[in-house]
Amino acid sequence: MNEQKSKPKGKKMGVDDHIEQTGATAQDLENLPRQDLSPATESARYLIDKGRICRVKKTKDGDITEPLCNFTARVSEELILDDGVETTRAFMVQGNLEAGEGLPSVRVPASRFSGMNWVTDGWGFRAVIRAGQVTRDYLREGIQTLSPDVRQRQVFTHTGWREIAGTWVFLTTSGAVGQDGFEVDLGPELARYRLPRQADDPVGALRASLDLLRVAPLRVTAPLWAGIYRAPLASIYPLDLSLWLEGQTGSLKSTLTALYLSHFGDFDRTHLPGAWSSTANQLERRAFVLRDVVYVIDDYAPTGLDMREMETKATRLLRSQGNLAGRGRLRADLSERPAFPPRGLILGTGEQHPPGQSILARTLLIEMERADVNLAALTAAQQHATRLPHAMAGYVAWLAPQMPTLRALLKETFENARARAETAGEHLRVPEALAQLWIGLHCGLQYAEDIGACSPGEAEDLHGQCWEAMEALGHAQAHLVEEERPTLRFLKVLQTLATQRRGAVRHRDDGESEPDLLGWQDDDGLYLLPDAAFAAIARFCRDAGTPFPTSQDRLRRDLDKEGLLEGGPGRYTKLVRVGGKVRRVLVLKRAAVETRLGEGFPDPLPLVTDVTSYRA
Amino acid sequence: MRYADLSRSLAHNPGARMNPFLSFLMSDAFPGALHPEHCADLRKSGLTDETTRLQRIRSVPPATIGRLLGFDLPSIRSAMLIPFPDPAGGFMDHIRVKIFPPVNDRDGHSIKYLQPKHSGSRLFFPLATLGRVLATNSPVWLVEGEKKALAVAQLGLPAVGFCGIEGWHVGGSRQLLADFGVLRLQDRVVELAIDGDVDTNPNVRRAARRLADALRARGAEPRLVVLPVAA
Repeated sequence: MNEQKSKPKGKKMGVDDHIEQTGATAQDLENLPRQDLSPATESARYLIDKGRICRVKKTKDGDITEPLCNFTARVSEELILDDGVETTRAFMVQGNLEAGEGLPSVRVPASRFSGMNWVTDGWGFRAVIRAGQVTRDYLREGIQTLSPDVRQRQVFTHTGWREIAGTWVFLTTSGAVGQDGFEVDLGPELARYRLPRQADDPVGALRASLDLLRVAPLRVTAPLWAGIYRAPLASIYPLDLSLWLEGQTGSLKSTLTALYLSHFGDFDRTHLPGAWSSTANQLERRAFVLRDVVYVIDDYAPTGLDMREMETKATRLLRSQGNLAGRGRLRADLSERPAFPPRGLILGTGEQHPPGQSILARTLLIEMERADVNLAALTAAQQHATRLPHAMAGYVAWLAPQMPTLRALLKETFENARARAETAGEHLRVPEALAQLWIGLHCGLQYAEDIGACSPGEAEDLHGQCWEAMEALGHAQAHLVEEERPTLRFLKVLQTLATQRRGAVRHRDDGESEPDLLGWQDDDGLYLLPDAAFAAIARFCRDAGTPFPTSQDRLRRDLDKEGLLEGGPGRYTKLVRVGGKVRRVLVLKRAAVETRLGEGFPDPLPLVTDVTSYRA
Repeated sequence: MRYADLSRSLAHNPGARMNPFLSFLMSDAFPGALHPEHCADLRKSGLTDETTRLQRIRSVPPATIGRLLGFDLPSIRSAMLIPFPDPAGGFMDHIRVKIFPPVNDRDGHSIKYLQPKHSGSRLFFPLATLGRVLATNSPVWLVEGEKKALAVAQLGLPAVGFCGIEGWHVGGSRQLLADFGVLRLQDRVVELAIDGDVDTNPNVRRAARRLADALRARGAEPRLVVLPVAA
């Protein structure tokens, strides 16, 4: 706009014209006057006029000021959001309506900024962008152009450990324990994860923490306490275990869980960070954000309508924790996004647990009932709940200088504990689960001993008592896992169908056919029609609300591996004369089946061929 | 690089990587005569025959004009080929032609020069002073227009030409053309010889400032040479 707009008055003269007309020499050219060209300054394309952002439009008749909206907006801060895996950006935008009324400060993800839909989302109906296909883009440019001083701010969007400039810091929404200058934003829902910067009376706080072991039997409290002190070590040594507190409604499981979770902030029964009714994506995201802390997901109580959905969510999340792997995702441009694996410890509560052997193998089940809870001890512990974050702050401050060397120590501790917990025949995941908890128990008690919250003798006693309780829990878990084995489930359902006469397993020589026929039997084996038997069992499981967990093919292979199947080489079915014909059937060894079931398989029903004596 | 070296280089590498019509026009098989109208035009700019020969400026046979440019303009009576020397030796696969008579575009602007579509902008290196342009740190004249650059170089001043006031950057960018990479720009005085309308035409003035900015960003010291305005 500062440029002259007049057209040249004289003839356009080039240097060749000058040379030709004047006979100039090189020296003459060098003697011509020079002019400095100051840096180019763009004339303003955007300005604020009458409380509106306007665009200066250049026309043949001069500049026109064209309003783009009825407000002003300015980016005050650019937030660099760091979740520990990827960095994104967001802008803090402030504004005023043209009448001068202030608009609330809105945080706009960088990816949404150019779309300008955030204006209506954040400022509502009264903030109006003028019509026109490119107006939004002009407005976007205008806001950026008119925001010359944008302060950059790094904000962490996860809890837990980060190594920054060689120093390990533990992040919660209050910043970093023992360090200044760190900002953490988890959003309002997770703002309760808050540890004090400095632990106040760490000895007293840890004693209050140890008191939680007396609130209920150790089979309930020991794994919970161990889990609380295991979670802050998740970044250093992988934690592929979830805890599951199961009890009837009113058994105080949510109250107890909230009390333990109070180690990481201000929580109570009505303010827990997760609920199984949330969407799978939200659960997954929070499990990722809540690094090195315990993530409580409350109230797994599937009803008929949402049973499958809730099972799917729980299965997915617990499996992710068990495998420490998130779902792969793609961005809109088809490039790969980082996955969101769980990074802390998931503690689920519910009146029941999700089905499936593989899920149970990854989740340690803690059963409790109301009678387990010492109400007086619970009340006392709740009164001291505000001390618990100080216990955790002291613990992570104690861990921080050890972080670089801790991994090897934890690995050794884990391997020793796993070896102690191993029992022949049990699912390998169970001893591993106990070893994971042992790490937390051991480190927590070691810290207590180091700061004088308990004597070496007390610590040793607690080690022994807690391990004993957790070992008993492990055996119960192993039994539970075994009960969920698909092959055993298959045999049990088959037995139930035969007992209830909902499916017929006839004598081997019986040629009678009927709609519910599943197969034949004799003293040596069960000869099942493969598809009919599997379909009947799958249907029964589905009707019972727990779908059969594996495919037919996988089941046959498992039956064979477990020595239950009599098949030909490379085949799991066999041609056998049954019911007067040669048929391809699944042959189960009767003795092995009955050993596995722990009781006899129901004999075939007598074949009724004579009805002459029947009287109505 | 001396003229003799360049001539040898061209002789050994005539028309390398060129389109076949340009290759033929630049070869020894083509006599390279100039149409009297073209001769007069060059002389009007003060260019000597030696400069014309050195730069291999020549007239394009009428039947070849369309083939060379990739499009036909029936109103063109004749065309003068201005080859672009490659500072690495030989000539670029890039040309401009001065057309006779000029044509008018839709807005009535006179068009005197044409080049093949999508062939972009390149710097024009007069061969007479190429060695000093490339090998020394002495002030270099950055001149708007090929013939004007030749006129300056003919006086012995190291000169480089650019084609039009916006011909120094890639479209959509304010970065200097890649051809500037062969010049030593750090702490070098660059004399900008832009047509006289730089003082009167704001668009030209803005473009000149941007060029100066881009040169400064490379460490050069640009100065605008003030040409007298003809009455």
